[in-house]
Amino acid sequence: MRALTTYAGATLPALLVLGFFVWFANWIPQTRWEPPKIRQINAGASPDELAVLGQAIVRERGCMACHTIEPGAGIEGRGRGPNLDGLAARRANGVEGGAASLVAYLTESLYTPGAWLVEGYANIMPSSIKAPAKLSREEVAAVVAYLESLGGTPSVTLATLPAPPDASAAAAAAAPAEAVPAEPGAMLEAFDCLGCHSQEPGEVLVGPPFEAAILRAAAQAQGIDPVTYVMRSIVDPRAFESADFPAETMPDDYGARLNAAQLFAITDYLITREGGQ
Amino acid sequence: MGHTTEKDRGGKPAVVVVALVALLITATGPALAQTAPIRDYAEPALIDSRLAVWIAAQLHLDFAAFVLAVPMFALAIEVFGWSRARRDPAAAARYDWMAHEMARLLPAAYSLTAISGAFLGMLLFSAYPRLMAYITETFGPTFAIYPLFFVAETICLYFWYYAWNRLQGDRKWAHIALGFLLNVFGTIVMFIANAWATFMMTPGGVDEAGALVSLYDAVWNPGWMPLNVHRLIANITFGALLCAAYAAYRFLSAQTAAERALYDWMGYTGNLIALFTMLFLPFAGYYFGFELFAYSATYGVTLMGGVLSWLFIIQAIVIAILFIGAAYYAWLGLLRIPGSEPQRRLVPVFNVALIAGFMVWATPHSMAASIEESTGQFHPLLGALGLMAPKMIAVTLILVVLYVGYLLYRRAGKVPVVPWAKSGTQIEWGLIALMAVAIFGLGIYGYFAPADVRIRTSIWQILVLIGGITITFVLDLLLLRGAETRASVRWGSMPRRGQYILILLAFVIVWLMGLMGYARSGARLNWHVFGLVQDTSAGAGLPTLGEAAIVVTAITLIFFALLGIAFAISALAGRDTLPEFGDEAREAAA
Repeated sequence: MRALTTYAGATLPALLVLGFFVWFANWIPQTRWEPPKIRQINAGASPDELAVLGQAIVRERGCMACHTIEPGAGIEGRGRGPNLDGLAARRANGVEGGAASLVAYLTESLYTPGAWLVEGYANIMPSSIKAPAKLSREEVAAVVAYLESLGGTPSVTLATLPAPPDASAAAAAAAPAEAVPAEPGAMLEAFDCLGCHSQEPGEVLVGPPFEAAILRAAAQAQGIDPVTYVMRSIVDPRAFESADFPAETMPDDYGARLNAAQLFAITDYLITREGGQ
Repeated sequence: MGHTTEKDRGGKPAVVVVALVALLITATGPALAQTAPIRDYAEPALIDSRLAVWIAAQLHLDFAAFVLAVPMFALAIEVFGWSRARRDPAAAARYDWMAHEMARLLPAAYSLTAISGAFLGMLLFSAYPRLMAYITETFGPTFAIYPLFFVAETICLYFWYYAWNRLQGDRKWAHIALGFLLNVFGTIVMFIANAWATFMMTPGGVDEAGALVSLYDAVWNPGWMPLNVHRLIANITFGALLCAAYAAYRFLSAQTAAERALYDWMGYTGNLIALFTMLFLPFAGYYFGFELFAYSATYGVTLMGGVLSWLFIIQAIVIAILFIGAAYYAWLGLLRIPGSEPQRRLVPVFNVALIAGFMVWATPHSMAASIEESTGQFHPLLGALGLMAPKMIAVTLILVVLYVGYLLYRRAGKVPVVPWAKSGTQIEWGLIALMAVAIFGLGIYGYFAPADVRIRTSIWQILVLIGGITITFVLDLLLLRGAETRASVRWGSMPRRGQYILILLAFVIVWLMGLMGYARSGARLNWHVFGLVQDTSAGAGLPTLGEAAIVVTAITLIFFALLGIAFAISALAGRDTLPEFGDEAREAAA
């Protein structure tokens, strides 16, 4: 018993110090970190809507741990990364020898941050489509829209967001969309596209058949590339309506129902498949 | 000596548990990997899975650290004693006694390591079936060989401990060989487990989808070797402080002056080993952090500028208590040495220097409490002191101060007799001053330099420190060769508060180990395997630091409660005959 009392007494200072640690740890600011929210961003979201979402994403995913937004500080703020204030004005024309527009520059910088490293800063930023930020394509568009708003006006949409620079980045960008079926053909079935659009050569149901050659020709007639043509036709079916098919028949809510990964998967499938394949 | 009774008590449970672990890992893993479909997570249970795994993992780590570390320095002490056996049998007997006494807690602690490991394995496989199936599939061969080394370590440990008194004299070499093998197997076991742990932080050897490409690269992933180095050093600090605390308890309950003297010496030795390894710990931690940062800058941001940044403020305070406490104990030791008054006068100066250094170390980079609040800016009031360069200066100079304190301790009660003593002493202190100035100058240069240059200058600071310590220590050895001893160390005369400090340090190191275990795991945020296997469970977030501190404290208390039981079991065993004390112990210990 005497030994036990001796041990307990000798342990008391240690217990007091542990108590101090617990008190201090509870005294400092408390934050319960939660994983980033999965945001449902409609494919038809406007640039302004995207910018609002982008601001939240930038805060949540830790971008501001390095970057600063310091009005009037120029490119060199007091952070580890460049000051973002006025970014849109500084890079209105992209970067010399590379991306020719602000949106292209921002997108590339998010996918491969080391591509256009600002002088004086270390190449420490991880690709935003990889861990831990792991932005989806919709989220990249939202962040680009927000960054455009810092010294400019948001203009980017999901349809106009440049594609990732390489296949692996594209795969990574598409990966987080958990609901994307592996087979785009099944996706067309799921979204009821095949009730009106035939996949058989020469067969016309209600709308234009899903043949790459026909879609490419239609895009050429509009003077735009096939990707943009198909995407916009899905998101905004009234944009390129043809007199050969019934007007205002296709539902106009696909922009809200599809996420960006699904939109890209379907577009890619349609412009590469030939009739009957 | 009572060893036959101990054998039955400690050995059998451990063997049973080892067999269970082996069966669990080798049989359950592949089976899970082959069975489809596999659930991602277990059904919600009474206790949160993550919390249960956290407690089990940390307890296992604590016990494993202890049983891995103690044989390392106990063997070194045993070898040191053996090397003096012919010249000085009395001193050899004392060292042998101390090594054996340090190993006394091992059998019971080893059983607790195995039990907590088995418990952890069962929890992991039942709570995270898909993750464990993936880990098992990736690391299959290592899961097969791990139990083999574990069994080999078990056999060596029990033989090493229980055959201690039989393998004496001419057969001592066999005992030392057994101890060497024990350390080899123990280190391999730790390295294998580290491969799994670091793969989750810095996965390598797999493609983007997580499929195994190279097992070699998966094992030797970027974080593996830094963690191996860090854990090796930290384990020794950990084990040495626990042995010192054990000695402190024994000191306090000692019935005779001889017993008190021996446990005083043992506590001093434990603290000295801990202080010595603590000199290298900040750099080992820095090396680990550097590799994490190189793997993904996100780790740097999460740990230092984001959600866990305040954790490092707590860490700085805890380490400050550890360093200052260990130094305080060492300085209290001057009271054992008659004629050490000149050295004692400098203690307040050292304390002020250490506290000032830790104030810089504990300065937050920014005041952000969360990742959303992070602004990338520096501390609003203390500004630049929260940056890496000033912190590196502070940490390195703290180590210089501790080293200088140790040099003064060596001098206490001694008079150098070499003819060049005066000039030698001046050169020695001149070199130390030069070392401090160089460390300071490099830090200032690094502050104004770009980040990549700054990192290089910090490495130079470390090299200057290690070089300076090596040169001046050799010089000090030569200076004190044949030095005249004014008075012998009065072992056993240490004040009781010195023992309280040793016990406190043991609690603090266990708490610190728990805190850093949480930091290492929490830095992955919502990833089981960073970038590959996302944690989509309900408990994927992180608790507040206040909550984490409560859990860490609970783990610490459970650990000491279990260790107390091990302590009580070892106390039931017969005690070795106490060796006699002489002046030589002071020499060797210093």
